Amino acid sequence: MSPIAGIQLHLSPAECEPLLPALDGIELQYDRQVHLLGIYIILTVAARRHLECNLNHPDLTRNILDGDYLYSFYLQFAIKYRELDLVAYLAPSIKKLQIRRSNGDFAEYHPAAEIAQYLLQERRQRGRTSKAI
Amino acid sequence: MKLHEALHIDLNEINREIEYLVARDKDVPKHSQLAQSILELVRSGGKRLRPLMLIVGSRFGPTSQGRRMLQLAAAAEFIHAASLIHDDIIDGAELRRGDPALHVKTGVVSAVHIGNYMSSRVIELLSKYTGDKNRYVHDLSAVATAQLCLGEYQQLAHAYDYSLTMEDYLEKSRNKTALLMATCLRVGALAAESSEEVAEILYQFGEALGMSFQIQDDLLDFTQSSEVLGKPAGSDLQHGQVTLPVLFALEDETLAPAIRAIGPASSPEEIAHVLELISGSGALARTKQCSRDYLDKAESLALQLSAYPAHADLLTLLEYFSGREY
Repeated sequence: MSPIAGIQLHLSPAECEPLLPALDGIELQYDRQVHLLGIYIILTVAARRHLECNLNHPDLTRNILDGDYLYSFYLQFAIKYRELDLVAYLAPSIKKLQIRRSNGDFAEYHPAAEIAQYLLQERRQRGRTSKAI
Repeated sequence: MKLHEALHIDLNEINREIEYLVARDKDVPKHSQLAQSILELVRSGGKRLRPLMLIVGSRFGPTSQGRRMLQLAAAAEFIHAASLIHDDIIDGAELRRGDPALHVKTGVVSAVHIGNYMSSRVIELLSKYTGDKNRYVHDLSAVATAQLCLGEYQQLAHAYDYSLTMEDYLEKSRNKTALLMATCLRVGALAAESSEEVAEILYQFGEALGMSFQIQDDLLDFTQSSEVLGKPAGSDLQHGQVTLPVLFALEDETLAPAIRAIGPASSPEEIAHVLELISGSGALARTKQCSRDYLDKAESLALQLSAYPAHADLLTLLEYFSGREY
């Protein structure tokens, strides 16, 4: 991330736990596990920063910019580690999150379940491809 | 003649495609606040510079891709409009194109997420373009949008910073304005399967044009009325934005103390007085010249593409940018 943004991507181990079953249940290379965890952290923090955008919040400007920057950085990160199919898979749900929040539904965003579904779908597709071969 | 007419681009087609982005989204109820406020914003005007630049870029490639190009053009405008919604909240701007800003109508939290919706809708659309050969389309959402944010961070960090350097100012302007324009030209060209070399020249052309645009924008804060701008004149100065005219005026030791005294608590009278001082100095002429220098740079880049029929469109863009008054 650019040092100009000055963002500390902090998420506690407990907050990362929801993704662990998805990563453990499927045979994934260690590097890919790290990249998926990175995507999970970026998306969670981005959604959280934008949730803290009340008019009277002392860090309103900072929260808007951090959320915006993190969503762009998520794409850069996903492109770098060749996870564009995951981006396409998650895009509708991230969009629906914004629609809900614009309507006043401020439930927390938990992308772990969808990342898990994506990985399962990917495994099924690979299974079909290898059988066909 | 309007820019789109001079470029022989049907603006109605682009506007329709921009509206389709929200109107044809099955996840958005037609009469929702989100749909209505976005449609109001896109119908309130705007020059559609970025979509036009993307279409011009596409004329440098061998393939014309009709609907796909219009979708990319609409996506570029959505990214720009989303950034305006968030900028208005950050700047505390109550007006946009003479109408109440979106956050004034919906409240801040909704407006933040309406802007987010627009960005995420673009990602949803662009994520259909998979494969390495289509990676460039993601420059709109991944790179150009990140640069917009960095420009805002830089602006924020240097509010009322009268020791800002020229380099800092230029970098901020590049991030905030020029790189999205540059990316539009490049993405248009690559979508039409131009060579990388041509796309790179167009990118540099767009960057120079965008720098000139931002510098002229800085100038308008001093030279245009609130009615023409659709926001209060002098608002850059009031919000602590150290723009190019301010930087040049600071070099004059007789003006510098009054400028440096401007802070968040300055009265409208103090702002008006300093605006007058800067306007009466040679700072505006130097700023105009700097903008002209970027246009000259753009012109020499355009010359490298003179073998293409669409070279004429680059000259049209240059002519438009050099005569811009609002």
